[in-house]
Amino acid sequence: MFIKKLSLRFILMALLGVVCFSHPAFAQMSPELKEFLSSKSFPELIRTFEKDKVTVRAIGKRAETIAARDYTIGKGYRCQAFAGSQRENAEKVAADLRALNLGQVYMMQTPEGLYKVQIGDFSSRVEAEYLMQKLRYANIPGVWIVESDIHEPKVGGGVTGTGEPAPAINNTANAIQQPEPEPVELRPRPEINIHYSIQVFATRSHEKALELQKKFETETNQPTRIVKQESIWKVMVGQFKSREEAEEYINTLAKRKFQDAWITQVVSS
Amino acid sequence: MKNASLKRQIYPQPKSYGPSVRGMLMSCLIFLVWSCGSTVKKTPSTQPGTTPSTTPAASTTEPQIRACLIDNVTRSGLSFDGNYVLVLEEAQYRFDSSIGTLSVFRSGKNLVFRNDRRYLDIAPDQLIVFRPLTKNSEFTLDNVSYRGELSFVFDGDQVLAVNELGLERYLQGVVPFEIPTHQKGYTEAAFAQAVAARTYAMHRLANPVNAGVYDIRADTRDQVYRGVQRLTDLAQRAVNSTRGMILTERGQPSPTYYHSTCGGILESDAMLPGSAVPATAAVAHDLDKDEYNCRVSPFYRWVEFRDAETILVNLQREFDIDSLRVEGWMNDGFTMSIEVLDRKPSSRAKTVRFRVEEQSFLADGSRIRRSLADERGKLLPSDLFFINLSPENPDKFYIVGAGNGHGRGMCQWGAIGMSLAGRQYQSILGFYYPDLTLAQMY
Repeated sequence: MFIKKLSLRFILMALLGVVCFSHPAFAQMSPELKEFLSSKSFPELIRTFEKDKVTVRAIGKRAETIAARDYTIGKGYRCQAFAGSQRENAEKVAADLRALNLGQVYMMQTPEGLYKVQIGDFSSRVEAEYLMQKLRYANIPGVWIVESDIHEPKVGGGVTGTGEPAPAINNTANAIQQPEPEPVELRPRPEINIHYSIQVFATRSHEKALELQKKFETETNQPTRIVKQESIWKVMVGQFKSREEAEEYINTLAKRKFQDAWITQVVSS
Repeated sequence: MKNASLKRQIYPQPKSYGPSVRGMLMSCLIFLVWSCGSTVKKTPSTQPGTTPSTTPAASTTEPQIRACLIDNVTRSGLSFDGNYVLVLEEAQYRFDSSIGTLSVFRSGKNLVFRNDRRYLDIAPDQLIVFRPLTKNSEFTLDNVSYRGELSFVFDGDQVLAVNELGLERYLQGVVPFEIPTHQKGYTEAAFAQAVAARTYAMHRLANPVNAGVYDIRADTRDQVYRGVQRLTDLAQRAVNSTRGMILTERGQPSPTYYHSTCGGILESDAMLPGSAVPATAAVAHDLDKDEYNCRVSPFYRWVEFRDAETILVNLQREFDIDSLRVEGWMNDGFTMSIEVLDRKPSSRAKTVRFRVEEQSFLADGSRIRRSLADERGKLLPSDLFFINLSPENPDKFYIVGAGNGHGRGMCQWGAIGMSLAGRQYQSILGFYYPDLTLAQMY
């Protein structure tokens, strides 16, 4: 009898699995389940399958909202382009930033009523500096870097939602508007690298540039390369971690009669 | 009698008459005084033929029945096909299809009928009865067409729309909405349904819901009546062939309850409110020749899923739970458990305990089905169910059930099953109402 009950339970559970799998909306029974249930008297089904108590845990809207997000909250950096009491001005700055499509733009209001407009979610200050430079090129001055809670994309897109800390943004400021996520290809690359190099010569002749590159390679122990920009070939010498190191080297070059040399910042990934 | 009163109400205020008709005028006036008396009582019709009879068994003619179409008119659309007349104190008004659709709405305490052709603002002290001038005249109220008389009755602060018509014609608007009548094999079931519906209507005539205003409600609280919206040959044949036939208990029409699908087990262990049926512990098993009659029903077995949140919203409504507490649960999450504490002899759930966090709610009766309604408010089909968890969806209650409705009296899909198996309607009625007797009332 016990074995029979167990096997019946197994059959029902298997059939429930079928109906759940094949009917995500659960509106209908699978034919197998319907036939199985119809072949038994209902009191018998109750005696066999009823559980004394059925318990379900509802995780709550707050946790659901967090689980539905495609990001988690972490610590990092953002570029802040506006802080003021005028909402209209904040919206204008936010619109300008969104038009550039350089990253996620956040407009928020602090509990004190101050509006802030920030852009980007960066785990390192260097990435934020890179964006700040881009913004300056785009004629948006007055941008500064702030330490902030940032949105970090979920790894693998899994929806967990439980045990995650509440978004700090709600503790410090109410998010007013969150635009569409920026295109993935426009996100700053995490392995970004900045170094300084010295441009020693620029010419329209590729041969001349090659000749000079060869000369520098043999005479110095610095890496040398040629960069083409439009119709100009530039000879670049050295790869320095800081501007100071580059300046030190340029002084040695000046002694070698390369007084027109200047330092350039190179951003590479 | 009714026709005479009708004519007099259509022409209520004769301006001048010769001495030769003075006697007739006097009798008219006497009748009008009697008629005004009925106005004060706010009864749409109190003619002897339509008064609810306390002894319907003694009736020899087809009775009139008053069906409440809307029990609180707020804003409705009304149009006419055929000829109707409305007699008010100051004048009489004719209505036909040329009038178009009137908006019917409340304006203060008054009731207003308005479109670009008519504007009537009627105070609560007037009797508002639209009487048909021809037999097949129809009116359409909120997109449903009916025949017979239409009254708007002020009852307290509310206005009710009441349709009065002959019982047999009323049944033609009931049978096709209470049982499928589109298949030939359903014939005997439709016949049985016609008798059961007639019996229930006669029971309501003897025990009206609102004695001064109407006898029966036009929805599932009594039986569904939708006028001439779905006249079918089979339904008309069922009503005509069983004309005047009802089920009686000691000569009186019995409250013949019926329901969609019993799921294989009829309920007979409890009294319905207002019912004279005694409580018994017996359970009638609807098993006929090793086959359940209602297995053909789409509700014979069913499965439903419910979120805990949906049930919590239902519980909040049913048990008047503080909204702040519910909001807190909804936001922060909560644990809900459901236990069927007690079952009736038919295995239907009798008491169900819902536990939300540390708070318990005990549901019984119709509250069980309401508490387990879906997110759109559709009730759980029946109390014959058990709850489990689906391995695929552990965050939802998985409800497996049987049947649709309360399970008392005739199982309509069971009647269809018996009809398909070749049983006669007398046999079907005998199966489901073994203690009642068929009788010809008129």
